[in-house]
Amino acid sequence: MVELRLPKNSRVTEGITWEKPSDAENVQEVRIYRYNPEESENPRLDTFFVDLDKCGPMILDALIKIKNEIDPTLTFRRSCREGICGSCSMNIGGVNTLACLKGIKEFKGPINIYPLPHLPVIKDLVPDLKQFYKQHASIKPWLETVSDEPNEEWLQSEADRKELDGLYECVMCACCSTSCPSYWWNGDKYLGPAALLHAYRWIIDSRDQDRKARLDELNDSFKLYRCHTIMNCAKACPKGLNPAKAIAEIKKLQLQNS
Amino acid sequence: MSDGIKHWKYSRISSTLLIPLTIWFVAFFSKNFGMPFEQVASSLSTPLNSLLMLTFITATIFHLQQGLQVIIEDYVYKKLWINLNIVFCGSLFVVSIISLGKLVLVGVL
Repeated sequence: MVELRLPKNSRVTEGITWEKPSDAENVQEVRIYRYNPEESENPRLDTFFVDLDKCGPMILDALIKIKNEIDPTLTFRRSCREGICGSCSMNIGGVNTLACLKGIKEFKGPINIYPLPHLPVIKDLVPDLKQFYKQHASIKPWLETVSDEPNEEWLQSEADRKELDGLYECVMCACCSTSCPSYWWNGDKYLGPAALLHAYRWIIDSRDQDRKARLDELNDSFKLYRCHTIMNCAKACPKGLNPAKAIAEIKKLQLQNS
Repeated sequence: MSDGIKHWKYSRISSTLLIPLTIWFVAFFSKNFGMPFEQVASSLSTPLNSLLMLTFITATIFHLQQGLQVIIEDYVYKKLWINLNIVFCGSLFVVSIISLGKLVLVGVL
């Protein structure tokens, strides 16, 4: 049967508009997606007004202020507040990014905040990342070795270590994977840019001794080859990494291997 | 669904091949456009031109089959459509080759 309307939980209705702070001059309008799958209501978009003179500079500061002072039921993930933990990833102003790295002043007019796209929502801005983590685990994100353990650590030359730059910085925020149309359509079979970036990180690690098996594992028309070089991943990455390039490098290595 | 690299490699080879072939095809087509049938047939029947046309048709239809398969895998999933695509492109190839053969024969005779 053709579905003519979006499913109920994808139809966002107008929500509560909270009062503007009466004494504030510098007010920012923030519209936030609210949804609780355990209740029967549709998702809604609540409108909040934040006094910027009494708020930190980042979107995350605004969210914390809203939770503390306006609506304590607002739910979102956050931890380090400096772009290291990758917890506060969400869709802000139509772009997946980390709330702690995005300045309020970068926006003109109302700021729309949604959870990361195309994932099941647990509550408000908290998406379900179970599948995402499962895919990460599937690429074996650890050192695989066959030779005897060295007495001290596994050594690596400076040049070999340099190969990992631009890869190891990934904080697994899922901004890239959830911005990828190929991941939207085939997220169950395609591993997505984040997992593949990590896969490449281990493939080219000079200390890893499982390269061939890693490459063979990825030689699958869905796991790796659903990447059509759309490049949304590189555009979305709040850490400035380029998963699309890592994917292209895996393909090149597979070509040499075949 | 394994062997992604094979599919990827063949699409790259056929698309690289198609760059010069398409330039040749456009040049050949615009030179012969509006010409009488016998003249087109005779210029197509030279060994170089007939060989280039044969390669062009083969590479185009092969690339078409590969590309359509990716789209079907992306959006339709069903194996039936992947097989129908092979049948469709295969028939297109057979019809094109017969037509080309006929034209070349007319040019030669």
